Amino acid sequence: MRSVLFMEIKKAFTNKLFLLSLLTAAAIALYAAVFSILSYYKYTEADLLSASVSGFSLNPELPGTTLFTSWIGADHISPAASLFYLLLPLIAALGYGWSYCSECKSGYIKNVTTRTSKTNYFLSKYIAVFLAGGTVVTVPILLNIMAVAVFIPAIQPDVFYDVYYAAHPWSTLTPLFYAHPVVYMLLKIVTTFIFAGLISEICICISFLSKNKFVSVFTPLFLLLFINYLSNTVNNLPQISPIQFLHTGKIYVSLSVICLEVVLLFAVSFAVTLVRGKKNDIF
Amino acid sequence: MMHIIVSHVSKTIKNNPVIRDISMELHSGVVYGFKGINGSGKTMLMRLICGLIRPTQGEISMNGKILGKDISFPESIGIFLENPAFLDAYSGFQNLKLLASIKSVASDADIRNTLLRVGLDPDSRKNYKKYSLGMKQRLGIAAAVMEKPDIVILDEPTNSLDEGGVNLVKRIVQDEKERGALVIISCHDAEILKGLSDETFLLEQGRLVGHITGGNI
Repeated sequence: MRSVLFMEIKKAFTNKLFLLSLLTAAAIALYAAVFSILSYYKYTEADLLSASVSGFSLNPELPGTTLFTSWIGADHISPAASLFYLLLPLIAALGYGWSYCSECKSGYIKNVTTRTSKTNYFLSKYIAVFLAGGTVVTVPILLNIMAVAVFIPAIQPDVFYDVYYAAHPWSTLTPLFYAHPVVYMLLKIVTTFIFAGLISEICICISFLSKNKFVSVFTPLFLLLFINYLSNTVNNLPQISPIQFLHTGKIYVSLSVICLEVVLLFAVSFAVTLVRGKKNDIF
Repeated sequence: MMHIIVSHVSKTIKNNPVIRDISMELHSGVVYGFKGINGSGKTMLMRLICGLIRPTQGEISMNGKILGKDISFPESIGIFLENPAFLDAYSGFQNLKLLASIKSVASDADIRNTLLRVGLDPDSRKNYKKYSLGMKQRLGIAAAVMEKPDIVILDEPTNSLDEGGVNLVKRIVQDEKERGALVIISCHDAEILKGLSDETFLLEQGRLVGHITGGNI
């Protein structure tokens, strides 16, 4: 099992599509960082200008704009940030989600399974796809945070400035955002990693139905856009769309809904991959 | 010693019978040829023996262990089925090394020797994507034999090969036989099959219609 897993991880992290989607996602995330930084400096410049005219200026250390509201996962203004989360399912799928479909089509799967077992192959594939999907989305987010942190101070958010924040008062984790913003940020990054990993597993499940790489890669995107559409039709209910709740906190997010979705996505994708994978013939 | 018993095996795919009640016994140190026109069931029967697909009826046992029940795949098998399939971004050596890392049976030296045996340069940095059809075919054969498996299955190994390549396949099959492997080979060309196999099974529409021992097909 270990040898197949290492092999799958090596293939996952060295393939061209992984690198291409990582670079594209990083470019979008860095563009979002530039947008946040420029917005911050525009605000500071305006403040300096008003200070020169009136003789008064706002304290630049006020928590209205802080790293915790300017990083990509909290930035609800930048179009690049919205684009990043909109394309998240596609970016995750392009990491390594397509590999099972591709290996079935080319026949490479035969080279591997006859040297090990179907269980080892599918378990290794599941883990590698999960890790690659999570990494390809999370690394650009970390790059964005690093870039933003260089220019925008990490001032503790203050509840009196809530109009500036994307923190919905009903959301389960909003108190954590005010009390421990770093922990809140880390928790959100981990959640994004898990979701991106699980979303890319959808590609494997779809590959059991269609051996078309295009279908396998784009299905998670269309599925999540459909969920997003459904969630937009109902009001006053916790957000169910990962595209929305992984992004800003300005919508009502319930931790129990997130946990339920993680469990559901994992259970379905894992069961389908292992059970169908073991049962299906390899041609 | 390897002893394979194929017992009343049938395979139906989407209500279409592709293998019908085939029984045969295969032993180590013998080269078996599967002959038949396209769609006669040669490749499907090979897939069944590999454990890649499961029979709808009947069973296949290997040294008493039933495929799909006691074992999911034969413990030591090298296959070359239909088209060779490798990773485009890796060289021939890198591709074989990656596959060999699964079982850790073949060393780097074994891989190099196998590549030389099939007429490929182990030091070549050329990516698999840039290989010619013949080179891809040779790499596929190398992957099948590099771990010195007990069972070697070669489906149309002479496709896309020139005369030198065909002679090379003949030599490899002979070497594998002398090593004591059970070799199963399929080929359209009756002359090539005649020269290679000790026993030939004739297939037609998924049925076994003849079993010839010796050279006359």
